[in-house]
Amino acid sequence: MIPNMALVVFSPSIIGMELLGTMLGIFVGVTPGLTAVMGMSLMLGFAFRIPMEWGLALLIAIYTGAIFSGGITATMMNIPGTPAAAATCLDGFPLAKMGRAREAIGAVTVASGIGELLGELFTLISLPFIFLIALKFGDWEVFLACLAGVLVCGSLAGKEVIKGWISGVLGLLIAMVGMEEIWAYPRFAYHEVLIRGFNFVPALIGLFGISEVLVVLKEKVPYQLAGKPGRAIIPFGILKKNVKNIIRSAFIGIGIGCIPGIGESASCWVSYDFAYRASKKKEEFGKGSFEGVIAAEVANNATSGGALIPTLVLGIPGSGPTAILLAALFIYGIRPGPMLMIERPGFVTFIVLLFWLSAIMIILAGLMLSSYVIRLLSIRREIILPIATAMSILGAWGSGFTHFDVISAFAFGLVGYIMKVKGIPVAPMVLGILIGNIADTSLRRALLTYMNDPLAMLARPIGIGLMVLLFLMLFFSFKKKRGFGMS
Amino acid sequence: MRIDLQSIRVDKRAPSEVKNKKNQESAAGDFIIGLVLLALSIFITFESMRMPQKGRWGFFMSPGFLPLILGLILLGLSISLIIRSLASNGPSGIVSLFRKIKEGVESHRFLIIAGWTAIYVILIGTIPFLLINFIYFFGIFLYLKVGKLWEILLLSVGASLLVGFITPWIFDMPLP
Repeated sequence: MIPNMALVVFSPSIIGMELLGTMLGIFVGVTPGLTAVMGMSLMLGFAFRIPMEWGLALLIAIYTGAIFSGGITATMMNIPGTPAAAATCLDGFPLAKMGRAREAIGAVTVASGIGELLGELFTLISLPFIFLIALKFGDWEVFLACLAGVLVCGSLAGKEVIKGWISGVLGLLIAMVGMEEIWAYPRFAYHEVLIRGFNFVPALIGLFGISEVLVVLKEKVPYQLAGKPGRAIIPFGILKKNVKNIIRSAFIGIGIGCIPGIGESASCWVSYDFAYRASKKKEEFGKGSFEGVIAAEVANNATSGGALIPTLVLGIPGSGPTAILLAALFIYGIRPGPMLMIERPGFVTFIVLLFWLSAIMIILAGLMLSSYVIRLLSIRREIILPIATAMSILGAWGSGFTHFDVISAFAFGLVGYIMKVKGIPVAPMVLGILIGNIADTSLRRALLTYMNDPLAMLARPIGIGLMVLLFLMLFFSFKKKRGFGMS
Repeated sequence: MRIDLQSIRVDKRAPSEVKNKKNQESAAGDFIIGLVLLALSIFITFESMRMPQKGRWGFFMSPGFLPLILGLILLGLSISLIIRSLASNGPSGIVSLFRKIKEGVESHRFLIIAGWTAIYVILIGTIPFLLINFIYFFGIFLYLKVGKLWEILLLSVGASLLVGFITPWIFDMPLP
């Protein structure tokens, strides 16, 4: 079956669509404020005017292209193009500032490609087994996984754990604003515009993008990137040393992708945490570690493979972009669910092959376009950052087409500025805003389900495992006393 | 690169004294943030308790259940931030922190750039998008002195076209 599918996938028309999608995805990812979800949803209308195979190829290529190139702006501008690239900022940007932008971009490109290839390969092989584990993930486990994501992110993103957690809790609280999903009660909605709650994209744009512009441009002489622009260098030696890191990160990406709703925004942090704990050069993390860049990029790309499992097998999207993919499948008349493999044999293989093709595309396009992208993003900060601001504002507008989104992006920018100046990391807040509602709904749904026997909820095996993990994370964070001691 | 020598001030204090002052200012900032967060957490906690409680599990099923927990966690974290800053003698650094903000060149630059961006954001939707982008770019490039006047004009036109025409055209986006 695979050879037949390969003939379809590697046909000139599909390759052409993948190429177009990759270019659009790279454009979306490189532009602060435009996310993979936005790029895919904006192209949905066009995708339905072309044959299904072409449309799916286009959407998948935009997805992988955007997730990959989000790491490029994270490295070159300290502004993640997509939320999935937030962890890449921690080490990618210091590397670029040190004059090693070409190697960092090379690492981002190859790690993304490898992550995508491995993620899809493991997914294809282990689909039935992971499916069984994914089925055991109830609301309680989803809540615990959300909590672990915010906790890990809070512990890692900043120099002080306490400030990271404050940021994460504030993010979760911001997500609580607006109509909640169980009783449809408008929480903290003191004005009619707040009933809808804060859109995630303007929050991301403001906290990462606009705040960075304000922080950099307030300097009389803003920093300029060291090193000469040129084509990305593939750091083979570094990749060779990171084989374990790559495999581990791919598994983490797939595992988190399987949990509906959490997606690549959390997987990059968990993977980064594991890489940090396993590393022999812990002191380099946060200052320009290739291990950190590779862990984050492999995981966020591998997540698309994991996220496919609940999407295709359960009909529940594993991440934002897979939700768009799911909508596209429904409109094309394909009903994802447990019967998909029986009703449409070979369809999952077809999708996986499309992802593989897009992985090859991102490596090729990434390396071929790297010199232009590096040159473009290396231009004077005084020129590129105001343009990034306006693009971000356009992205905020595009997320909901309301003026409130534009205003809230700017307001989040000011909040992000204060946070950055005071050493409070913004990434946990962004993650909190992203998964806050999922955490809330999951927790209360779990309580509703186990209303008569709450102990049964606490005794679920995967839940116990996650709780142990949470306690261990808390224990080690306190043990390190980062932020709790006097600095 | 031209260096403005007048903007460089020589600090005649001993390095340890400068470091102590910086730490104190940082602790003062933490103290103020801690107080703001404390007030916010108390507000959230009370508001969460006022939310409706339905069903047999009333409180646990209330829309305010998770916000209440988060409010209490934030309360604990803000108190620990305040205690930590008090231990570093944070409150005594508040005056020098505000003086630094008031007199600092960076604060003035921040206010001008943020203010100009705020005007741009507010006016979006009232002035044609292409035009408001041109005004924003021209103003900010002029302030940041990115080149000669004709270079600034050219850059502003190019950037406005990219943001106000090319990108929306590619994605078929309606403009504000």
